[in-house]
Amino acid sequence: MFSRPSSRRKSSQEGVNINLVPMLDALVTLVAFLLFSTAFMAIVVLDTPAPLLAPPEQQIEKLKEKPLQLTAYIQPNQIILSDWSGSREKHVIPSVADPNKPESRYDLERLHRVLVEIKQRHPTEKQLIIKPEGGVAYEAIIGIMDAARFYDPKSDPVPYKKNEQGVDMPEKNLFSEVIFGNIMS
Amino acid sequence: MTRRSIRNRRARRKINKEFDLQLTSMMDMLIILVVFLLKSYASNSVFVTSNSIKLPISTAEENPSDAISLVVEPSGISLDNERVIDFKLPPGLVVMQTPVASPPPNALTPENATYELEPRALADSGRRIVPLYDALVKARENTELLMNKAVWKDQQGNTTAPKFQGVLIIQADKAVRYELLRKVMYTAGAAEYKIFKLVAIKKETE
Repeated sequence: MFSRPSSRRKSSQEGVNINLVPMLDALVTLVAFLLFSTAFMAIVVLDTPAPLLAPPEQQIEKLKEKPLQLTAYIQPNQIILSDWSGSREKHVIPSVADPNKPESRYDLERLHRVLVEIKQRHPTEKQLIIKPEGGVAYEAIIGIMDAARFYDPKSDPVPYKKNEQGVDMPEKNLFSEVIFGNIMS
Repeated sequence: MTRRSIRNRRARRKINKEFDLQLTSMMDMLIILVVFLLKSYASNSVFVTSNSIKLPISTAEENPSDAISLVVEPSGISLDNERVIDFKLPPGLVVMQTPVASPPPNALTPENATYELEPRALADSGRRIVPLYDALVKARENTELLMNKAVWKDQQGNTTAPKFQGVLIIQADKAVRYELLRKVMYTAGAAEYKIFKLVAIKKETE
């Protein structure tokens, strides 16, 4: 049977109200602090090992493997890619006109394509030595390192490699070890 | 009469009742916002970049780790926020102590800086920056001293002493020429730093 409307109104069972105001205060303060201190610009780093001379016995062992020693000579108007003797790989990548700037820029797309082709011929190679000239800007060097370090999964013929579980996974690294070859010289 | 008194009582009850603001949905929203901000705070904001330089943009994905930080600013080179050496100041230009939105025309900027060092500050045929070398050696020795006091235990319970990794984080303006960077890296190499981490801004992926 239903109770009378008047008795329902007078019911003592009222909802418990939690005082949310102090918690709200704390949250608003926390949000303000985090908003002020959070960096919305993501910062990344590019690793490059300092060139060190290996002990003589290790150098002799390495030379037996006939390393490619792929080197990029970064000149003001071109990049020359060459192996240590210039007999196996030799490519000249001239700079192209930049519509946004008066001076030309390095053709990083072509450099990347050439590096992908070289990697197809020498799949075990993972090191690129770069030798920029004194006047080359830091921004250009970072661009060249980016072009050399990783495959572009959207446009490159990415090779597949078995991981520890035996599953075929796309290879990410192109020439992942970029070393400055003329620091000590 | 009776009807009026009932109406009056109802009206009185309405006035006395407290106004309850529904805060639950606002709390939900704030908690989601706090969680999001805490997550992005933990991954990014540990690293502080210099305001006076414009970093290059890169597609790299590695986050910066905790290491000794070297900054090549338009006015000089700093190591762990301490100025080590000043560059030659072009005549008529002034160094702004704090970055401003619209700098005066005679302010030193990355574009008009010389990035040139006094010849007496250089050694090894102009390749090694002596004050920077001294500061780097001091920083390495301090780190090694702290590491020698620390003791790590591996999973088997064996104690090992942590080794100095020789990591140096380098921040430089995108317009800095390699000539100067080579000197900086040569100096760091001479001071037994083996890995350089070049700082950049992450390129937004489409």
